[in-house]
Amino acid sequence: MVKPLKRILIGGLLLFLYLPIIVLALYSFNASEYLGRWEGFSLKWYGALFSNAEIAEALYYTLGVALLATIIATAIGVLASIGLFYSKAKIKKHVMTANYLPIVNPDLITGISLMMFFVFFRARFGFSTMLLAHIIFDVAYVIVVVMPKMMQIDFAQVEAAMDLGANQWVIIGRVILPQIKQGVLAGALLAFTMSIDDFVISFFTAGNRATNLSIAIYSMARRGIKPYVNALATLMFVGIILLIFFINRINDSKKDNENGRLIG
Amino acid sequence: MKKFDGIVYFYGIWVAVLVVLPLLILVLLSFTSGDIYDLSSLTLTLDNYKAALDPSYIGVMMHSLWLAFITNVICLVIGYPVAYIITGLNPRIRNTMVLLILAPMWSNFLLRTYSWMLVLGNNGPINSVLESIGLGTVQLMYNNFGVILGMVYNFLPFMILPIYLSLTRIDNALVEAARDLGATSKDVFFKVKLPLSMPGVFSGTTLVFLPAITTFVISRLLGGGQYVLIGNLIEHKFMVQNDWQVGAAIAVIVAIILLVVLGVLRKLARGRLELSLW
Amino acid sequence: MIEQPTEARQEGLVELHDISKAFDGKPILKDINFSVDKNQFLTILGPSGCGKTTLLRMIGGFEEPDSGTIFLNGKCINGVSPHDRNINTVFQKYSLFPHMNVYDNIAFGLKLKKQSAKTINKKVKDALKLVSLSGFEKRSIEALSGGEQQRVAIARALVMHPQVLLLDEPLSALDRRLRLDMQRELKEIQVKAGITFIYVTHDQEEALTMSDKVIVLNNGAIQQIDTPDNIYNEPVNLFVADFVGTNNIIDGRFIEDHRVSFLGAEFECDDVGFVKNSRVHVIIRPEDFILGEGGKLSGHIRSAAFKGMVNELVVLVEDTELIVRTTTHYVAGTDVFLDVIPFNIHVLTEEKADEKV
Repeated sequence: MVKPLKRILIGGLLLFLYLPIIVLALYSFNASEYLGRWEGFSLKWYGALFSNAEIAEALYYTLGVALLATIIATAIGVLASIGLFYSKAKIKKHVMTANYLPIVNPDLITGISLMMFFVFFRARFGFSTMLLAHIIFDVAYVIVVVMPKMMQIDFAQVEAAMDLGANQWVIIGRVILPQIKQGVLAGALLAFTMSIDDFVISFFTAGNRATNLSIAIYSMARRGIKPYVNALATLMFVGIILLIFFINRINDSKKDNENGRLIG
Repeated sequence: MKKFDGIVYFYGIWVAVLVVLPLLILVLLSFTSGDIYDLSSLTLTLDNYKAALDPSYIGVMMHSLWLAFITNVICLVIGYPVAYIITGLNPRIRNTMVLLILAPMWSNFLLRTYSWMLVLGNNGPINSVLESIGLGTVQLMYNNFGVILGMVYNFLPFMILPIYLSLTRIDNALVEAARDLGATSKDVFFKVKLPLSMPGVFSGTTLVFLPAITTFVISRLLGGGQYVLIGNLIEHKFMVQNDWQVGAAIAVIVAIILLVVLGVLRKLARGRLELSLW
Repeated sequence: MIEQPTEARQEGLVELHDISKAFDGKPILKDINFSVDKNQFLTILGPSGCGKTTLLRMIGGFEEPDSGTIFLNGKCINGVSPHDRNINTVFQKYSLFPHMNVYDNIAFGLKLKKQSAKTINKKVKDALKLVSLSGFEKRSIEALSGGEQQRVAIARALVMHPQVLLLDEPLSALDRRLRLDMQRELKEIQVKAGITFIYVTHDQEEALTMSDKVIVLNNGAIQQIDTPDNIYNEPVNLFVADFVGTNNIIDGRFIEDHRVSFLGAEFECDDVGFVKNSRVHVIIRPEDFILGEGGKLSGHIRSAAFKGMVNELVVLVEDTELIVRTTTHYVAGTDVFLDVIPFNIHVLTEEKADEKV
């Protein structure tokens, strides 16, 4: 392909991807309440954002669920990966296939099936049902990221460690975990961003007692969105970008990661 | 080693109870009538499917399939050349590009979609520009255009990444071998790179088509309140009408269609279908 | 396909003149000169990182030299793209197209040349026959063993009727048994097909068994160009002596022409022209020692190992360990005398061969 054409295509793509974010950020600094009008630079929507109790509560649900779900899902995911590492090829294959279910399944289907599951078991909808739902899909992502790293470990290493007198816990702590460290970190990060990103599954599993950011914005979208949401979106996007570039920097300085796939 | 086998069974039970069982409950529900809170009142029936196959619902279904198809074609037409160009960049820039393409995906899906409401709105930047040059306001959302644009925006990276990965996996020695045997750049592309990147195309298609057909957020935000895709229909049944059983039946039909699509793509990709970017 | 004129010429079929190449300022090849004749089996032998693959890739057209000229049939082919050279390559990992079956792989280049289906059919059949894979047309690449893939790769290149076939360590991925079979087969194929092979390897045994001519390469410079026989028996410097075959390299003193001393004894030798009383290295092959009740050197057998046809002994003489091969049975822990006939003593200095008179 000709070079200018390549540039135009890539430039156009980046413009497309970032245009709404830029517009959002600009509006968040607009003094006017009306979108079309620019009435000068102002931080008032940021002020409004921080004094808004509804948003504060939604943020608490979003971050609380994301953090807890990430920690729990990473623990379960790593343990399950270790189990898979030790298990027979056939079992490994079946479990990995099942593990793809929540990933491939459209959020809508996962969401309503979990909703019916909670209804069926008479669960009280709220923070805990939303948290469990997040853990369920986060675990799947953690395993998908950790397993490839795990598979790179030659099983003979485990046998060699045993031969040298290491017990199983030493093997996990000294032989396996150090080698999958990057995968665990990437898996946790992915789980966290997936939780932050999620709307659909939260929507069906939260009930009306717990409202996270996504749900709050969705209900606002029907009534009309307040400009402080622009400020919120800007902050969230900047936060996520910083987190990702920060972690990528750590990895870059540690070792050149293959194809930038550590995060991706 | 026996000791750690146990974890797998624990995880197997986890998946069975928390992933498979909910889906089974959904399927079972679609075949019942009665009060879900009173299990003894439930009776088996096919009525939900009769209701789900209402001609107006089928129309919505067809419309959803059509939009998902269009979205997929657009993502492919943009995504393949982009992936191809990125593969040719030097590794450092390449990684940054991949990161730049993925970064917007890590923010919140709802905020992402909402931001297009600002851009496309009658007071948004595009219409402001159009108006200032005297072209007047154009309706950019609350129509098919808005919905398709929103879907392309949200799902394009899922097309680019698998294609990019399958292209980078092509051993350069194969390209050299082809050149050695007389292939021009065009031959190399059409006879080696394109066929070898087809699994990426099929994976990308899976990752775009599945969420595109079930979305209800994009159609609600950028299509407006009257705009109905199959996802909106299911959401409405579950969250507004509390008509869970018919909702479940519609969801099961959608799931079957998706399974067929997935099966076809799997066949086409000859077992090289990757179902996750990660 | 265009037949090249075959009139007798002075030059070789492929000639490299003063080729140099550097990557990132690091010299990879320095002033490489050699020529290959028609129907010759030339092997470029050297340790990994010596520049041999780069050299091959230059002949194939995948790399360009920084300076120097490559000639094919007396014509400069610098800058000519790989498919415009009448040269084909068998790649190290075969590089077969995984999305095509055996037939389509072999037919790939012919189809690009727009040859008729009938011609292609016949050529593919012939090529498969040549590599003893008749009937494999429909097989998928993934279903082939390493050795079979290897043959398909060779057939795919041969079917193009190149004047020169380049082979980049094509046997390195095979196990030893298969490698030995393939060595023999490759040589047969080369003779049958009647084309020039340029073969790159780090395996000295491979180089010595198949080649008409061997180039030993180290650190980007040619160490020796010679027949396998001479490379083995008359290494021109320490590197070649060490790299090609197991050799005993012993410190010694060159007393005068035809006389050298090492390990506390004086020996007659065939070498002349070294500086009198200078320090030299003495090269003796393990199989060239004569063991017996008497001899100039007395040693103690450290260990004895049975290696197929021969016993390999480690014999301690003075403070030097010698590797000795013999068909006679010896036991570790016993004493033994050793001797060497003048013909089997090979004297070298640190300097290169051409500086030795």
